[in-house]
Amino acid sequence: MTTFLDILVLGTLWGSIYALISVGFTLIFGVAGVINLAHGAFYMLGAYLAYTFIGVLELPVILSAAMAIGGTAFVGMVVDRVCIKPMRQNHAYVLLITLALALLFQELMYVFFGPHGKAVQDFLKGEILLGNVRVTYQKVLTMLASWISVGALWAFIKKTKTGKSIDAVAQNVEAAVLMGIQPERVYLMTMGISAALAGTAGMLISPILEAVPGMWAFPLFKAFAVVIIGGLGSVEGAVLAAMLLGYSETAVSRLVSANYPDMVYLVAIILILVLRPRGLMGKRAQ
Amino acid sequence: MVNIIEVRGLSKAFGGLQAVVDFNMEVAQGELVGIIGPNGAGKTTLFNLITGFVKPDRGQVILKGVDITGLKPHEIVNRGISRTFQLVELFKDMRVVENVMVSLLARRVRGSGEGKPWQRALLYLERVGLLHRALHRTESLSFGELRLLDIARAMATDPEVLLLDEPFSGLDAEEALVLSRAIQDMHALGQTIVIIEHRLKDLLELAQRVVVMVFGEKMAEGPPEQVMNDERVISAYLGERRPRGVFSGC
Amino acid sequence: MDRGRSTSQESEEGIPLTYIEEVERLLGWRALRSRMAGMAVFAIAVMLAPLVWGDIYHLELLFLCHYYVMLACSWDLLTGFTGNVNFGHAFFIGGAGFAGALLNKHLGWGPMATLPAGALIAGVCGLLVGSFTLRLKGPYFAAVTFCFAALLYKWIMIRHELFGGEEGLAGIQSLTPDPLGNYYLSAILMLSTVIGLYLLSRSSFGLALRSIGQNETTSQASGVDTTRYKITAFVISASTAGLAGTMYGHAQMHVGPEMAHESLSSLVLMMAVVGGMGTIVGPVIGAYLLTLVNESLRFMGELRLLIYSAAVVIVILFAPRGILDLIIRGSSYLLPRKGKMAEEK
Repeated sequence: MTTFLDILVLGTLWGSIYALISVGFTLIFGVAGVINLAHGAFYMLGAYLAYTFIGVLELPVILSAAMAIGGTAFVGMVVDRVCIKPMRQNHAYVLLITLALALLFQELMYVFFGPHGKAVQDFLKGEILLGNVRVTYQKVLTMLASWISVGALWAFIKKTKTGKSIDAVAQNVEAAVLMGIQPERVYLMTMGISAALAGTAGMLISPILEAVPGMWAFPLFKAFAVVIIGGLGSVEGAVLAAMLLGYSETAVSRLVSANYPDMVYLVAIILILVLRPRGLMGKRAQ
Repeated sequence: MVNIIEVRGLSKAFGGLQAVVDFNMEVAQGELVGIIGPNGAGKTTLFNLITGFVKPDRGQVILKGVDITGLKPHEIVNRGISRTFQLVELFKDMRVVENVMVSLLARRVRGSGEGKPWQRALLYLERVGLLHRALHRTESLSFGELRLLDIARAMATDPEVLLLDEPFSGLDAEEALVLSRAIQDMHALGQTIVIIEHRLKDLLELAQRVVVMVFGEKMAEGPPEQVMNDERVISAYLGERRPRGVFSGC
Repeated sequence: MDRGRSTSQESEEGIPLTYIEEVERLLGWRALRSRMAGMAVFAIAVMLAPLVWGDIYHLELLFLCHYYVMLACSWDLLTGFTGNVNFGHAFFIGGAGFAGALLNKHLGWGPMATLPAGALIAGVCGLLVGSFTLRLKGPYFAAVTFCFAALLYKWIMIRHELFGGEEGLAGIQSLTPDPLGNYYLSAILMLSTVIGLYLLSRSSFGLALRSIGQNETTSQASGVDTTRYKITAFVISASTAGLAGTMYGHAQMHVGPEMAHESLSSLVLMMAVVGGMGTIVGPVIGAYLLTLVNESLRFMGELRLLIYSAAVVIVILFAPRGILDLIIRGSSYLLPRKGKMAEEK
């Protein structure tokens, strides 16, 4: 019973985090056709900024969080403008430049912060007991914040005018242009939002995991997996796939062996691409 | 007259939309057939179905008596059907002559003919009047020239049937004239050609027979004069009656 | 089908011989001759290099360059030409490296046997993986190649009793008895790879690959069996990488999991991109450059990788077609254009 609760709680936690990380990744792809391999680097940036503001400068948590997210969003937009925009239509180029940027960010973090993990204090202290499982308030906060962020994104896109312009460009760029929407602005904004979401995830994670220069890799891989399983360009699919992945990994970790959870997403990618390439809820035909 | 292509009961739906509905058509050897119809009538889908880029839900495509339904695009090219594209893309980073040389790699024509591949390619360029541009980069070509290059590329696989998808769209009067002449020359040499076209004036001068496609179905068929005066066709295109003889291209 | 005029008549009547000559000059054997002369110069330089840099340090450094040239060029054959980005090249490098090591340690096979075996095993893996995955569109193919490499890496780490875990396998038979021998054997393999792949890229096979990379749909519409070409390129790419991996294992007398790690895939990729994808020659430049730069920056200590990665980003931003392209465009300003059909820029 403990194991089951354990899987449920941890699976939900990780699923929520994966959802938060992946939603931005699939968004920028669905809207701009960009596979941003630096996405994990934004996540990493969020974590390191959180460490800097909260841990080093000891600023209040809320302020630090806002600055970390804002900072990441800003960097994301700069990357879009400077690096991606010039050759946006060349997909191979975008893959390569964003990968090179991710590696550069890794080295920057290494130089500024060193190789050792930087820990941030929990935002909230204390824990609750669910059955036999202890869940820290931090983890609960992380889960809630993830869901709120994803929900806010969904509401933004479906309900607000600006959000709808993003949706319009995702569906049909030419038609959107005819409606007076400027695609470049939309791409820029989408990248900012995407980076902000990744940064938020990084910031929320920083008390749970330490910040290390190589931490950009695993969220990128997981996001990639989630997005492929859920369907490139589908936000709902990403959320669904994220939760599935979170539960599967936790289940494998508890029930099989601690060696294997990291292989779940790899096998899942291969299976999906062999059996149902467009993903669970994929809509955009590439 | 031998039928080169037979289309029987071809149907295709995308999601809820029936793009092609139980379509039947024959093309005889040496014919120049036009396919017309309002936008969204399913004409390009028909081409995609015939050339293997899209798999039909039902029906068959038969080439010289052999069922080629569902074969891969390159296999269909090697059986003898070549097509051009409505949105011409070609190989932007290559020189013009290399575009045609790619077609010469097809199993159907590989190693046949005399001379090196680029020599054979030059011949096809000459036929569409692009010889002087042979070594230029493809991206430097004008719109009309790109159309002609697409045709040269398609012709280089020595097809039994050539399918042209809206070759006149976007051309100015001079380019249209050049294209029209090129098509006539090919037809005069015995090439079987099927043309989808929206610009009726250009098409009606060329076609021996016209098939009208509306909402994925064949609405009418026959010599151009007869079809263009068919009331149903007129109303499908224009939504109203038009006096005879005032019918000009879109 | 009688289409009327025959070919030989056309070339006499229809097409001026000057056209044919000019096309021949640009696309035919004459164009190849100047490139091959360049290759010959390079080959001679490589063979004579030990006379100038004959100490062990330099021989081993240049051996490393040969290794990376083979990796980068083999990677380029698939990705640079067809546009299908391969993120799992290390799968073949490490896979063959370990296969060769195991054959050597457990079956006593020497390098003369393990080298072809490594290439063969990698090639077969390439065939299997490629058949499954090359029908997938771009980003999906990239993801799957990454997955295969990552799964291999994890498997290597998990089965540490077989593969040696983090430390890998040591005590592998040496490639040749001394560093000079290693240098020359690797030079021969490297030169064969470069020249072979280059000639391949200039052949009709290369044309087919390029057509796939530029517009796969049109390529299919021109009768090209794109999947078969992609798989073939992938197999050649894989077996060459496998050959290099096996060679490396013997030269180092050690294989480790880092040979199957994604960072190696990234490194090779960067070399090809910086040098110039889709040219075979570009990756040669990229491999030499990045390997030597990496080495020469050693004195910078912690900043080394930062400068290195920043340089890569800058090159991609400002010379997206690579350094080779910069060189070509730079020299075209110096050499005049000849001929009737001078191209427009």
